[in-house]
Amino acid sequence: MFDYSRSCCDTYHCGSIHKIRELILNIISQSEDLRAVLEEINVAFQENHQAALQYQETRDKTIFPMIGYRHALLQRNVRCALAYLYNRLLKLKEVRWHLGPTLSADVKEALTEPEIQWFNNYSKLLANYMMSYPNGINLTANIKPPKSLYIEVKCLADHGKLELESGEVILLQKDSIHYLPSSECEQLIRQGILEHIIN
Amino acid sequence: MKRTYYPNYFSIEDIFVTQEKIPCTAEQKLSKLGFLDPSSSDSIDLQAGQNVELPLWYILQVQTDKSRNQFYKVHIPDIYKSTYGEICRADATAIDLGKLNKYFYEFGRYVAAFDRNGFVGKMIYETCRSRMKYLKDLCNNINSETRNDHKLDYIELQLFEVGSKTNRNLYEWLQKNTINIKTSEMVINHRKRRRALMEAENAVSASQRSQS
Repeated sequence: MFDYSRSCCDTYHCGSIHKIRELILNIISQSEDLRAVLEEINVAFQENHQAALQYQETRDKTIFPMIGYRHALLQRNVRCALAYLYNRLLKLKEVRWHLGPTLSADVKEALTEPEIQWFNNYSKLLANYMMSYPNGINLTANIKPPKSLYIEVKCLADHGKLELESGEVILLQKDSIHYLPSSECEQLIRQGILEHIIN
Repeated sequence: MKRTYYPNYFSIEDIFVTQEKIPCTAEQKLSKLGFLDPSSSDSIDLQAGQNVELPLWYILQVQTDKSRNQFYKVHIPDIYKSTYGEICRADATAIDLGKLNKYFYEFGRYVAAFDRNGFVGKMIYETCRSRMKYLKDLCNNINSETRNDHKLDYIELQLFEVGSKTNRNLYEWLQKNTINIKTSEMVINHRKRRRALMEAENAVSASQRSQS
């Protein structure tokens, strides 16, 4: 018999909800917890099914409140699980806009296969949309209005060579300072490789 | 009563609000639901007249139509009762809403549906109205970084953040400050997390080494 007292009172359910919030904030896959929720849904469904069959035989109305409770529990769990998954996708969408179309290894590790697929599809859609304009528009650039064409940046990490659109190649070494076209280094600043210096 | 999901089904805030507990009395003997009352865990059934605190999501589900639900009588939580109503009327800015309930307005909206006298709805409306000016003044004070001592509820906190950010942006624009491209917050958080993870791993391996 499934222990409902555990899921109803704070001990389990409240705890799992707080955890859900935590999980969404960090993209870390916790498939174990999700599986426990799914299991709870399954068990509640099975038992309600049994109870419904029992009612058809006995016409015993005293089992109604319990059926009602299990039904509410079931819907609640479904909602929590779906909200968790959906909010992960929203977070992933943010990743696309802030970090670009490639996922770093540790983020990738935290995602499930369908999530990676979703990310790739979203990336593709966004790219197609941006290319549908003549010459293409990069919507993820210039999130803040640019004030000057060139900006001064300091390099925070060894990044290797960077080829500019003009064909010039610069070596991005740690602690070196460069004067670069803002359109070409905005992405790197947001990735935390360069730092925008303001006097 | 119609079940509403505000602002949408996937909203985490709404999930939190519906997790709040609301005092109820069982109207009839409810078999096998004794576990809902943690104080009398030995009885299997919930007796008629027994008081329990039930989460809002359950009550909303039981209350499926316009007619009163036949299992429970729902009571208004203390924080929406007349004593607090009096305080709100006297000086709404003096109360620490966040301490009363983190989701004072949202929870109140749900509770109002169970209130036949229409007192709760009026109370949260009036409270919100008289606190608005105070909130606006807070937002104008752009230098204040501390926000724990403002006694705000969740929605007010959000409004405060948006408001003070707008004010700061306007101030910067008036000062003609150059626009600074910053590392995205996401990257910063990501890095912190990675560092924390690495430190934890180092600690584990260090303790393993010391054991061997």
